[in-house]
Amino acid sequence: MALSRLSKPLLYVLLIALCLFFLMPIYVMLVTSLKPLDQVTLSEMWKLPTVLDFSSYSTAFEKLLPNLLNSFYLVIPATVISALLGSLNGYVLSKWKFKGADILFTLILFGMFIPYQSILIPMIQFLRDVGLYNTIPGLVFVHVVYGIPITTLMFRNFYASIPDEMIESAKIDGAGFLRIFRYIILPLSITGFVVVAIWQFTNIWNEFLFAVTITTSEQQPIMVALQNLSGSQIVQWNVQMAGALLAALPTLLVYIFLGKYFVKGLLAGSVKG
Amino acid sequence: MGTTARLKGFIILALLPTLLIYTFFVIVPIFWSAYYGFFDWSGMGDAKFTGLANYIEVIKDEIFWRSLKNNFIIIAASVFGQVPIALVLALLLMKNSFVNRFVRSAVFMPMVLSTVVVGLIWGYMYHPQIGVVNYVLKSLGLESLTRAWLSDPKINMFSVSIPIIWNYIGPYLIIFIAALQNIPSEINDAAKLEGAVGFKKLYYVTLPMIWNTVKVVIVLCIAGSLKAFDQVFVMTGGGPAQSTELLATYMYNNTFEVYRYGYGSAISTMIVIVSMILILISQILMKRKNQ
Repeated sequence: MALSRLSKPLLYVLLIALCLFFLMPIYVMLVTSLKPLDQVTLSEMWKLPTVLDFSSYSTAFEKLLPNLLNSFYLVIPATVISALLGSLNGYVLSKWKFKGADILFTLILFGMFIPYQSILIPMIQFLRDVGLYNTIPGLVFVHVVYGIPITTLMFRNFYASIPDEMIESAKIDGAGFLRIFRYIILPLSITGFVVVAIWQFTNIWNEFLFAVTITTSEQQPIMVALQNLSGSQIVQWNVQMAGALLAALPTLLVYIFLGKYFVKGLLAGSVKG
Repeated sequence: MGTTARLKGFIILALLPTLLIYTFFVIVPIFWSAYYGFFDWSGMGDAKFTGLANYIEVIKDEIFWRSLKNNFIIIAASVFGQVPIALVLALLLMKNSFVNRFVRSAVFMPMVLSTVVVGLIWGYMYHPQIGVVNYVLKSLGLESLTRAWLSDPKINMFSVSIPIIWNYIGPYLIIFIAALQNIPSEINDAAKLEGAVGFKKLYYVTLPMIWNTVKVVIVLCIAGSLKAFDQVFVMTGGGPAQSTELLATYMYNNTFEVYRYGYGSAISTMIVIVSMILILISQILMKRKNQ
């Protein structure tokens, strides 16, 4: 028992150190973003700003606003379409199992393990051919394509928890494929849609590789613009950090207010079917 | 019988968009990429067929092997960093107390941050003159330990690994906690009766119960690290002198910086091959351990 009495404070010290390790970068970002540039020096590093200076936020906001809007134009349709497709696939693959359904599902899952980089060049070539290169719709399309495996997986696991008896009795009452989907599955899917939408929103908002290779200048989503913010001679760290916070704000807010669903999505996506 | 035919029609119709998209934009491009690898091509204009030249060049390319090695460092850092830390934390934070929930949220939070934001913050913290890391070392009197974290080729691969570990411990922690909470309480009670406590219980009861989850996490970890690109791209761009080049950044630099699309495609194909081999090996190893 002596051991556990000793280990308790030790445990708390460890947990506090851990919190510091995980939260310190956020603190650094926040503190730096609120300082004027001449206070961003080594000796002032830790200190809270003497006066709250929001000028870096207005500079960053001004520069990033068009890209911030681009990101919304990208994320909203991409999330909706990939969620709908995922729901349809999940419904068929969990409630209308046919011969080969499981093989098909495994094949779709396989898509999650393919590193995107390897299909990037043919993808860009295709987008050029159809005139969608360097456009937001092109980027929406790419995200729908690569969102399918995860949304299908999440919905399939979600629908697996809807009892088959419900479907059976609806069938006996004469409801068909579409009616069951419309009147039984969809009304029960609201949580599923929230979970998948949050997941997709966060991932697409944060995505960088496709964004940086498929769009240039005016079409760029926020993350690419943020990365380009450091382009000038002197790096204005305060503006940089303010921009980083602005760019991270939508997903941070989603996490703070709907974190429960985010965690649900994570678990639904990690449990292999 | 009319109804079953109708039903079949619906099933096909529902899956068709996915099947088409998936075949033409995920499966076919892998082969398309391999095919582009046979050409000398700048992305625009005519491509010249050069046979295996690109592939031979890749195999002889020192920087390709260095990138591969760096990728393995990231994989090792993830598998041996993220997985054990996440597991230990999950054991510590398993109970749903207020403090635990707070710590869990803190650990999980980086997960929702964009990798670009993560790269920027850590790039700033590693800054040799105004970075927090060197500042902390100095104020602790460890002046001799201060480094140019991202530009010293001896250590910069390890410097870039830390933000990646920091970024992704959260999800694994959550997965482990869910698995631990799913262990039936009867089993824990039985273990207690048998006198299994502490490490003994961990080794003989807890770990075997969640072993399947551990396997899934390791596979996810390997697959995730093969995709690593963003943080390194933002922090170092693969430099200096290509010392932090990863397969993905190397492919990016060849394709979009020097416009060697054919060579980039050949590297892409190598990435697919390496990934498939690794995933396969990890699956086989896991199966054997299970028996």
